[in-house]
Amino acid sequence: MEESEIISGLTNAVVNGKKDQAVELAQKALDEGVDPYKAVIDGLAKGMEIMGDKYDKKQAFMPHLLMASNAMYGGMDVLTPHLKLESGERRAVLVIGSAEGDVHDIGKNLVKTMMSAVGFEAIDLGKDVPINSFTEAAVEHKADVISVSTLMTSTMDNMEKIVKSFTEKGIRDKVKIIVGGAPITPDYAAEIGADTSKPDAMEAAHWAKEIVKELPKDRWN
Amino acid sequence: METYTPKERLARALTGQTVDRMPAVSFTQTATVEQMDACGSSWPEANEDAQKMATLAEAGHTLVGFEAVRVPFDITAEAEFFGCTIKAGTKEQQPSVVGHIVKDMSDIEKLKEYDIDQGRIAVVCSAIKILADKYGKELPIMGSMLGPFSLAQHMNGDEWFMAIMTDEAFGHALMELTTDFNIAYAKKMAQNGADTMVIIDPTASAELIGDEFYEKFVVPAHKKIVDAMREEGVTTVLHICGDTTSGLNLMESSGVDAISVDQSVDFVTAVGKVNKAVIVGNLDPVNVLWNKTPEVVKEASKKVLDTNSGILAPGCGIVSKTPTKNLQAMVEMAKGHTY
Ligand SMILES: [Zn+2]
Repeated sequence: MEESEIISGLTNAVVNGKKDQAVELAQKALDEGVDPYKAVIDGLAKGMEIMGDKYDKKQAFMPHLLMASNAMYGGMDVLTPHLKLESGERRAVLVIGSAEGDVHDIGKNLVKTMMSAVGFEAIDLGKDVPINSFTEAAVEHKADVISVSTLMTSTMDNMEKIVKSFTEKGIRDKVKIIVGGAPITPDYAAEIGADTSKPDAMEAAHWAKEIVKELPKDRWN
Repeated sequence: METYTPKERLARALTGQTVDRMPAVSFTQTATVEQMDACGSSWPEANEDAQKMATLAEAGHTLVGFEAVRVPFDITAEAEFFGCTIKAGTKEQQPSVVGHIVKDMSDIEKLKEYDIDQGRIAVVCSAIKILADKYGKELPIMGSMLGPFSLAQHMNGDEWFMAIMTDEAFGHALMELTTDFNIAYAKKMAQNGADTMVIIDPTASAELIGDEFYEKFVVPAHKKIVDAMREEGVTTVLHICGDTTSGLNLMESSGVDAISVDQSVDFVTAVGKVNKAVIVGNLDPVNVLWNKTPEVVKEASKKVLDTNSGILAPGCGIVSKTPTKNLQAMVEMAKGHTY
C-alpha cells in the first residue's frame, strides 16, 4: 500500500466514522514505516477537521462527530505510543475538564477531540473536577492551554475560582485559559480573567493552536 | 378591568385566542434562593417532599408575582425513576444524573414494567394536587417533565447520540419506552390538576442531531405526548435549549401549542418561522435575569414585546441566585403588554 493511500485511508476512516478501519490502517502505517506524526496529523486529524467543518456548516451532526471522534482515537491509540520517540518537538499540552459540580462532558469531550486533532496532547481530568486539580495538572504536565467547561449556571462560580487559583499559584502567565459551555460568553470569560471563550470546539482548537505560539518556550523551567 | 382569570388567559394565549393582555409566567423552573429564604422551603428538601415542593412553587406566585404555579424544579426525577444514579443537589444547585443504566435491548425489556405511583415523580404529582386544590380555579397549574429523547440519553449515556445512527431498532425501542412513560406520567399530572404541560427536552435539538434524526426519533414521540395531553384538555409547551431556529418547523410538526426558545434564538425570526405555535421566551437567565438590573431586564423584555406576539418568559431555567426584583421587572413588563 502506498503511503498516500494509507494517509487518505485514515482520513476517510475518520470522516466515515469507521473505527475498525482507522485502527487497521494505523497499524499498517506503522508496518510500512510511515511517520506516525504524519499519519496522525495528515491522516486522522485531517479527517476530524473535515468533520468539524461539516458540523459548522450543518452538514454533519453530533452522531457523525462522535463516530468520527471514536475512529480518530482508535487510530491514535495505535500511533501515539510511537509518536514521541520519532518526532523531536514536544507537543503542546492541554489540560481539560468540566468545572466542579458539572457532571456533563459531551461538550468537553468534543473540545478535547478537536484539540487533539490540531496536535495537542490532552490531559483529561474528566467531569466534576475539584478546583485545585487544574493547577496541579498544569504544573505536573507543564501545560500550555487550560480548558474548563460547564453547562450549569450554578457552577460558573467554580469556573472563576479555577482561573483565580492559577493567579494565586503565580502561574497564570504560564498558561492560556479558555472557558466554555452553554451559559458562557466572551464577556464572562473576560470578567473572570480567562483568555477567551469560543462558540464551538473547532474554533476553540484553532484559537488554541495559534495562541500557544505566544507562550515563551522556557517558562516552566 | 381584567376580563380573564390567569388560568383562562394563559390557556387562551397558548391556543391562539384573543386575550386582554399578556400572561406573566415562567415555563421553566421558578425557584430561587430568595424565595426559599422567604417561604421557608428550600432545595434540596423541596425536591423530595410534596408539601415543601408546593410551598416553594407557590412562592413564585405570592412573592414574585408569576400568574401560575409550576413544579418540579429539576429534570432528574424521570431518570431517577428508572434507576439512574443521581448526584444530590444543594440549596443552590439542582440534582444531576450521573449514572446510566441502559446498554442494550435486554436492559430495555427489564424496565418495561413499572409503577407510576412510585418515587419522586409521585411526589411531583402530589405537589400538583396540593397546588390545584388551592389555586386550580384561578391559576394555571403547570407540570413539567424531561422529554423522551433527553430521558433516553440520560438512560443510555452519550452513547445515545451514536446509537440512533448505528442501531435504529435499539433507538426506537428506547424511545418507545421513554415516550410511553412520559405519556403515563403526564396523564397522572393532568389527573392531579395540571392544565399546562411543559416538555423539556434539552438535547433533542435539530441543531445537535440534525433534521433527519430529529424527524425520525423526536417528532413522533413528541406528537404522541401532545395528542395524549390534548385529550386531557392540557396545553403543551416544548422547551429545547440552544439555537433551535432552523428546527422550529419540525418542532411545531409535533402539534405542540407553544415552543419555548432560549436566548440564542432571535425572537422575531422565531415568530416568523412558525405557522400556529406560540413562541415563548427568551430572556437570558444568566446575562440578563441573574447578573443584570431590573432596568436591563425591562430593556431586554421590550425586544420581545415589540414583536407583539408570543409570551415573554425566561429563555431557560431561572438561575437559583436570580434576584426577585429582576423577575418582578419581567412580570411587570408582561402584565403591561396588550396585543
Ligand atoms: Zn434550556
